[in-house]
Amino acid sequence: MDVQGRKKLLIVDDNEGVRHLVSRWLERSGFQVLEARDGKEAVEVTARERPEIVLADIRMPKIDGIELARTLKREHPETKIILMTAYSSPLTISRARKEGVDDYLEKPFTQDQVQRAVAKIAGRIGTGG
Amino acid sequence: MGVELPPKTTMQEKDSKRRGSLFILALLAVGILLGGMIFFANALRDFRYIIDGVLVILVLFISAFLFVDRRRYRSRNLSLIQEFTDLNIRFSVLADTVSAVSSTLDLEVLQEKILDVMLGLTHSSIGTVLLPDEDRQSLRVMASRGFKPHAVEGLSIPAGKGTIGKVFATGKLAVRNNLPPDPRAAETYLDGHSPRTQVIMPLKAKGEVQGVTIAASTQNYAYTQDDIDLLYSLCHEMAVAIVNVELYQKSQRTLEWLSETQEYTSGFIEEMLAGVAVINAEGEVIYFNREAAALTGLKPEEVLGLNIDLFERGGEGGRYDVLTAFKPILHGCFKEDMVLTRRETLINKPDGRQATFSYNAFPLHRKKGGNVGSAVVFMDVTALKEMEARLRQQDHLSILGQMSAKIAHEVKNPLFAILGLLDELEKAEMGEEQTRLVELIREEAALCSEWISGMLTFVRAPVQVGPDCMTRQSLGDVLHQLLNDFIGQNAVNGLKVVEDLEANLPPVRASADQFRHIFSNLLENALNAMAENGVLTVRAHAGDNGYCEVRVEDNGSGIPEEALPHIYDPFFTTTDGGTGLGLSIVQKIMLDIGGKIDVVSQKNMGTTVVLKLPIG
Repeated sequence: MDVQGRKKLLIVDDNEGVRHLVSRWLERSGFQVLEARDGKEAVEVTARERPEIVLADIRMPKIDGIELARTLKREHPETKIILMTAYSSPLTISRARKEGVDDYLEKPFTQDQVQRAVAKIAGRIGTGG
Repeated sequence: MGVELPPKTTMQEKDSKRRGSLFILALLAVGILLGGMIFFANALRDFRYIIDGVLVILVLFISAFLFVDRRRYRSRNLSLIQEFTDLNIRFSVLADTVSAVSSTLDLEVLQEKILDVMLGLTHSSIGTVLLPDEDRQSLRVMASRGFKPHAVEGLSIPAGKGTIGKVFATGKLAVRNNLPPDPRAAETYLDGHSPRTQVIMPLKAKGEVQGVTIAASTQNYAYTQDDIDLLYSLCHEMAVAIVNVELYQKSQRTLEWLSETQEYTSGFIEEMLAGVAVINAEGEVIYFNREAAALTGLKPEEVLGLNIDLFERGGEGGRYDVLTAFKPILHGCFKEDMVLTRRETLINKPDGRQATFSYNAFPLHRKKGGNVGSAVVFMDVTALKEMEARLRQQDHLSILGQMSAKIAHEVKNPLFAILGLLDELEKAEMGEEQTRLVELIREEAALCSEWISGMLTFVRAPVQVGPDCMTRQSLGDVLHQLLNDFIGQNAVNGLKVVEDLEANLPPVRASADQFRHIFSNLLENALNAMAENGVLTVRAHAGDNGYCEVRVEDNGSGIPEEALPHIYDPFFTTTDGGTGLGLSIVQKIMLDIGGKIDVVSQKNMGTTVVLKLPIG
């Protein structure tokens, strides 16, 4: 949480347009939104900024979304993770679940859909859910 | 057999000859004395009588001479007759032996006969036959007489050791006389008596000792050189017989092996799952196995023994076409001495189907040179070829699927951003021109998005086939429902729909989702091809080979002939605005469920898609 009491949320996507769009949408929901271009950067930002929620694309160069989820759940188990993807096979989604990912969003999604998904996850923070 | 050594000349015979000679000499002396007395008596009286006396002496002398000579000749003749008889007897013994030992091809019987001959000739009652082991390091007792069984059974004697071993090693006989009494005679010999004389003979033939035979007598015998010579001759004959029997047995074993091998080979060729046809130098079919009959549709008895040139292409409604296809190949291999391996040929079968045959053909060489015929080994690999093509297609589709997924993702992600950001832009104050531009961008992005969705449908075409995803419904019901839904959603003016569905069709091996994909694509293609007043016909009936056949027919524009080879290629389309994925998706699903698809089309006449769906 930042000084204004806003929850920190990290968006990880290699597409700048997607990062920008989703940031705008979630800032409207009252989050302090951070951005990372890939999994590697996301690990660094998470270590430094300790965001409560990480919203990451599955397909990314270097460290993909699944591996990122595994790393973050190991190093910061309290971090909630939502993965998003434009297309993934059922196997990929199963793997994501296995890594303890909290939710999953298929692109294209609307502003409303992402805001509701994030709010649902945010509601669990601090309640042990 | 009752052979014995020839009788010997006796002392009495020699004495009588000497007595005969003395009698002649005495007669001659009396004659000369009488003649002399006459001569001298008359000489005193008259000279003329001298001549009488001389004549008497002369006559007497000649008579005595003739008498003596006749006796001498008679004696010589007798001796010659005797010698001849002697030789004759020996010869007959030899002949009897040869005939006895050569009349059998059984080694055990031969060994018994050898013992008969040996014991008979040597007046013996004890005897054995020993033959060497394969490595010739020891001799084993093969047959015996006069022994208690346990005394010689399985007895083995090392070659080169002891008298017997030495006879075997050197090939020279040994005669032992005045043998000392054997303390174990009672437990060794049947009659309990020790032998006094022993003859150990090598059985020698082909320059090698084939075995040893021993004869022993409880009497002391002195064998003459003639006896020994005869024994040698006999043993040679017996050894020859052993060699012959062994050769015969070996040849029998070889024959048996050959016969078994031939049986095995011919059985193997007969049963092998490849056709085999063989012709001889004259071109006559001399071998035609079961599979050859099955593949050509000709019975072996229709083909065997006939010249292959008698079978003509097209004859009897093309019955011989498969066989005649191999005619030039067989002739070529025979005449040109060429070997053809892993070849393939297309042959039109009598039922009109074109089949791919793979074959190997080769000449059959004569050992002395030249060819005795030629052979072809062939298989119908049509099904294999089809499967290979399907596998290649599946592989191709799989790679394409992976590529499509990647492309779809890479395009869909930015499209998502574009459309979302356009929404954001629209919230800002914009002039009319800007609003129009944003709208155009949105439309273009939407087109792109639609295309991507089509591609993802292809990638995601349902593949799982299992009990859970199979429809239990009758094929007829499923088709009827799909057709109704589709027509309801895609109303076309003047369209006539004909349903020709056989009653009580069984369920087929496809899920509801797969059905939806297959038929929505086929029906959409049919509608796109037809102008107004089109007739769409869907027929279905159960085949007799585990498939249900479904035909989707239209009377539309048809597919141009040049486009037919590409209709399954993803993204290939002959209509404006089509994704070119419809038939690719249908083919992919058909491959996945083990079905078949065939498209028959004629320009401006219409298209018929024939699906063969495996019964579940």
